[in-house]
Amino acid sequence: MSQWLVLVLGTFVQHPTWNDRSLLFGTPVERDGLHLQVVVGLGGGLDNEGFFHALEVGKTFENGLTVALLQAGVQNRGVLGPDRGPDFLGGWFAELKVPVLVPELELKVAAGVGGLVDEWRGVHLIPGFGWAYGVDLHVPFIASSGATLGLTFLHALVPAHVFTVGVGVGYTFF
Amino acid sequence: MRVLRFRHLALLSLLTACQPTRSPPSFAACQNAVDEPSTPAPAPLHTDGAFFKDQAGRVVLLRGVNVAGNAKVPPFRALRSAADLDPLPGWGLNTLRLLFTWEAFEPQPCAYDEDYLSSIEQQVSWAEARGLYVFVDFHQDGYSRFSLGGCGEGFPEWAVLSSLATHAPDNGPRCDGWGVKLTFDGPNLDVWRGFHRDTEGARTRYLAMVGRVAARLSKHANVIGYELINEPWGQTWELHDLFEDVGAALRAQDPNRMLFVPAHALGLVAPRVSFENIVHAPHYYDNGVYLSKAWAKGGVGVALEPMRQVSVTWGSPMLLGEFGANEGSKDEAAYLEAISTWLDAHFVSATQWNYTPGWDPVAKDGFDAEDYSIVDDHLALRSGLFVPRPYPQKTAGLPVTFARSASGFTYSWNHDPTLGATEVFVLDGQQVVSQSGVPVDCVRAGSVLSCTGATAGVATITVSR
Repeated sequence: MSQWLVLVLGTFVQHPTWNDRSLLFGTPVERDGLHLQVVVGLGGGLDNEGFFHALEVGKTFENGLTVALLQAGVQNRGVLGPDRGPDFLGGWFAELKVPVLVPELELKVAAGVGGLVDEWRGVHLIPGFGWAYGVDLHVPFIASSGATLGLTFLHALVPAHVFTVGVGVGYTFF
Repeated sequence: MRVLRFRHLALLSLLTACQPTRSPPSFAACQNAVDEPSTPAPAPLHTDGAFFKDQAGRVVLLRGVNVAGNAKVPPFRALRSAADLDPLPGWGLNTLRLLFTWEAFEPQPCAYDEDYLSSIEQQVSWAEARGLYVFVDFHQDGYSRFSLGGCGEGFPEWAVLSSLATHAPDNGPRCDGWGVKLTFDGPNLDVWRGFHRDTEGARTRYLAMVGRVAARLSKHANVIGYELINEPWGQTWELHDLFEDVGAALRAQDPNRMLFVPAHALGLVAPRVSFENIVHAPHYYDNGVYLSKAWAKGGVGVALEPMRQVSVTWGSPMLLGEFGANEGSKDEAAYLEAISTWLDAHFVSATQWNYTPGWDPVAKDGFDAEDYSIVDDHLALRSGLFVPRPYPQKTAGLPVTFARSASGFTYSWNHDPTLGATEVFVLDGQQVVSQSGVPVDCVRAGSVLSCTGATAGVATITVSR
């Protein structure tokens, strides 16, 4: 199993020292140092729909890996409709991002404190365990930053399992 | 923003394509539902600090059973005849936690099935004839038979949020371990959220329903109270609000009966309700026994003492509304003995899960493959699940200590001669072998040892075979 994992990662994971230019757009890409990202969009699952946001702050290492703190969630109550499902679903996660196939396409996995916020008659936190995963596609306008199209799958156990998917656009300092 | 509809987005509309399309319930028929006038009988018991007391002022300890496992599913009738209750007094049991299923009473909004309520009333009368107290348990597990993948029970199908998918009732072997499924079930959160917010009126109807039941049953002298709802879900503040509203609906029809206040299905305790004459009524199932049918031989007191402390904080008695073991659990007899010993030592009342006269070898209790019934289909006790135990049923004064042994027990109480006799349930062959403290005269009649004395003070009797 581990051999297959190494093979897959070795085949697809991009190392920035191999490619310092965008393979899609041909522009130079610099991936190291402070990492910042803001993405907003729409989210929803089988029982929810609303406003999605994701914020990341962290560090990108010379080997191309990014370690970040991810705060992401979907605000369902009062945004789209009908109001159903959790009012807010999201969490604070430790996140690992790695470029795959091309430097501007990143896989991300994250885990941490996930949960719900009940916004009926006040604000009540319902904490639990959360995890997230997804992909980000960057359009490097300049070498160290660019626009981002993100897809994020969010899960929380409270202890019931709740789930949502967010798609959004934003901007990223790689 | 309203024009930016989520479901118009091609990608994410895949996730919502399978949304249910049921209509919310209509309450047009409710205008024809006439409330019955309430004529309550005097309450047989009331609370006084940590104790239940009867009308004479004696401390009453409740030992009983839940009736019944198969009352959760059609035809929703727990007892087949009065004879089903005949064995209970002989085993020392004096209380029924009688399951009431909303779905059976109000299958359509406001279309009450009075035959069902009459059947409940009939069972209360059968219990009354045998000297058994009854408290009514508005029961649900996993909300409805039409939710939790068809493994729940309790609420009518129309009370399930119309935005949620319903499921054909199953309640068979596929539902074994439903409690674990419930814990991790996302739609369960949604349906309870909708209930607490009264999104489609189900909560309002629940309040009307409990009041209607109380109006009918309050006339029975052996009804000691009502449990607000069984093992609910929600945030503690939502439960508190619900308990306040349900309590008010019950008290409007029956002002003097006790209210049994449950804990959250996962054991969380809501803040105390504002009413007096309330009972803290949590449940206890050891996780090891429940999940793996094996008892780790410990932990009973660790789990139960915090529950008792809640009762102390509330200034109310505690009644352990449910405890029990699936037949075949390793060390089940020792596990149940440990619970009983703790209950005795702390003078905590309890009703064991469960007594199902309709038990059968295939369907077991008749619900989700559970097999907790203390009796088989011939009303014979099933080995390991229950044994009769002596205990002080009514105490003229305040209990001090009660300690059982293999052959008998020693009981001390602070005797109050103005309250009458202290009555202790005893087993065959047990008799008083020694006395100390103030003198009492104990006479055995059947399975009850009745002790009276003219002097106030601590009396101690030792009873053995």
